[in-house]
Amino acid sequence: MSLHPPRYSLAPPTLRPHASRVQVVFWATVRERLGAMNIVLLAFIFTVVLLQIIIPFYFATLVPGLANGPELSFFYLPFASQVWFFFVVLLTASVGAGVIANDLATRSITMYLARPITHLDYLVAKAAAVAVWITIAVVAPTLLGTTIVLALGYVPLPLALQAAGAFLGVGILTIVAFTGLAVLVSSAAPKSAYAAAAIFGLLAGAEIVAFVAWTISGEPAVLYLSVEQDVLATAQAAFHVPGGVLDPTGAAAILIALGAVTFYLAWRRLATIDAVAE
Amino acid sequence: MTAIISAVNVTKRYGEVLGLNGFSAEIGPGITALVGPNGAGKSTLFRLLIGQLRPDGGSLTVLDRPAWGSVGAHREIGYCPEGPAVYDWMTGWEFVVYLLRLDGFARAEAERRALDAVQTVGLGTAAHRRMHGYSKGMRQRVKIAQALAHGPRLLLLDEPLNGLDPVGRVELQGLFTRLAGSGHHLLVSSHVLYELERMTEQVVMITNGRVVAEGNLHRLRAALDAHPQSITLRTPDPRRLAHLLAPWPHVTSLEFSGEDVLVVRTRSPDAFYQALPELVTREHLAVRGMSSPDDDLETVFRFLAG
Repeated sequence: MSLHPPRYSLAPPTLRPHASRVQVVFWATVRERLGAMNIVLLAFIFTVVLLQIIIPFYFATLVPGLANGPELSFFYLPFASQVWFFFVVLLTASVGAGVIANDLATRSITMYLARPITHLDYLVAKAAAVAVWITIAVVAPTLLGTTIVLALGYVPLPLALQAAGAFLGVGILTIVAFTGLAVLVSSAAPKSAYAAAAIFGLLAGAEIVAFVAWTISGEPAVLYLSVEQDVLATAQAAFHVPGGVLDPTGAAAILIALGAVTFYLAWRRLATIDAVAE
Repeated sequence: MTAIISAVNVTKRYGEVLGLNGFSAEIGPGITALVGPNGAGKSTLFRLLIGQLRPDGGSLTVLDRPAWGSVGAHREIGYCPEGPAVYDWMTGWEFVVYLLRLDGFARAEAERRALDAVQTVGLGTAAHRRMHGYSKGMRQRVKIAQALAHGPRLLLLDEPLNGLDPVGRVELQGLFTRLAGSGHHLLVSSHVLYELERMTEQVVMITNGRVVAEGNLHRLRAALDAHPQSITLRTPDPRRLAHLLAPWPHVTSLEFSGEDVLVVRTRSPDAFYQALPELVTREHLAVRGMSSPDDDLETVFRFLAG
């Protein structure tokens, strides 16, 4: 068999704009992450969150003495439960670990960067794809649960809207922090399995370390080290739950800073990705 | 000569390790072979050329534009990296479409070009199977297809024939030659040296991040005149042949290798090749084979690299 050069000419074609190229990376990454394990994790998260939102309001309808009806703080229950957070961390590790690490391990990143896209384009597209998955885990079930309890007549519309706003606000902070951490670790790990372990270890480990340090020292400020405690502090404020030991503004600032700094470090890391021997 | 790639004293460090160390070369049109051992800096050079790495020093231009920071120039460059570098969960055709869309092609145009490219590299119907089941050679063809598909002027091919079967190698060598004939420029690295000799006479030899030689291979061979070369002779009576060759003034050593092989080292291969037939005829020797393992690119490289 004899092979021949392609039939197309060397004349430059009309090319689509820059943003569309970033979208191509984004959609391909979303599709790539569409694995069975991530679907199962999402299904579990939806089930847990929906039950944690619907059941308290259902029982509230059975309490005749609840004079003022259900309150905003009822919506806080999913945050109070460690189960949801645990599975969101698992999903973040599962989705985020390979998002850049796989491209580095297979060197397919060199083909990306041989195209007219920059390191930043690539990182933005990858981070956006991770953020979509985390959004589905963090925001979608809470908004769905709120819609269901509204539809069932358990809560009035103003309360449902207030709860949706609170879920959205806390969710965005969580997404920013988790996404930044995921892309940084994925860009730094030689294999996606290591990245997954590192993401899970950092998020869960920080919680354990912060809690132990707080128990020993009695100093609540050490709880800022824990991403979960920062999320809980902002959620307590958003849902008017009393008794928080952390300043919610400070906790929110930490979550935003964590997302921004880790994203920046991931970008810097990508600029030096070739620090490997041939 | 119009330089397609111009490198002047280019340096790239990885911490304490020097990837390129004062690399200077002018690479012209057509096919140029980039030769060097593993770790010589070939892949580093490719990544500098596609703007993935920033040189720590020196100047590197590709198609008259700086290699670093000229994102638009990427449209004129096709890069086939070493290593797996493909997405197993896509088909070969989907993968090429995907990368074409990163170049900015609309979906329909990308699909058309991808089909053309996978046919060009001889992937056939396998292009529509997931790459999970691809052989190394098929993956290699996909990588070459994606490098070709957007119609670049310059192709940077890092070990492009690696993993291909002998027939596939010949097919792609022919394709590369025809691409050069149709106006493309190719920089091809390989450590299967004879393959490069079949495609081009233009060569850049690199070791430890430096150019040790560049130019026409035949002219480089002339540099071997003062360098002893080995010639292997296959004969049923190597001891008698050795006895006859030993007095020749340009023969520097004789070595028996196995029962019927004599390896001769000579300072003057031309004189040796001229005199041997006469000796064989006169002495009624049976010489069943003659080859020169030195007579290839590898020897030139080793000699020049010191």
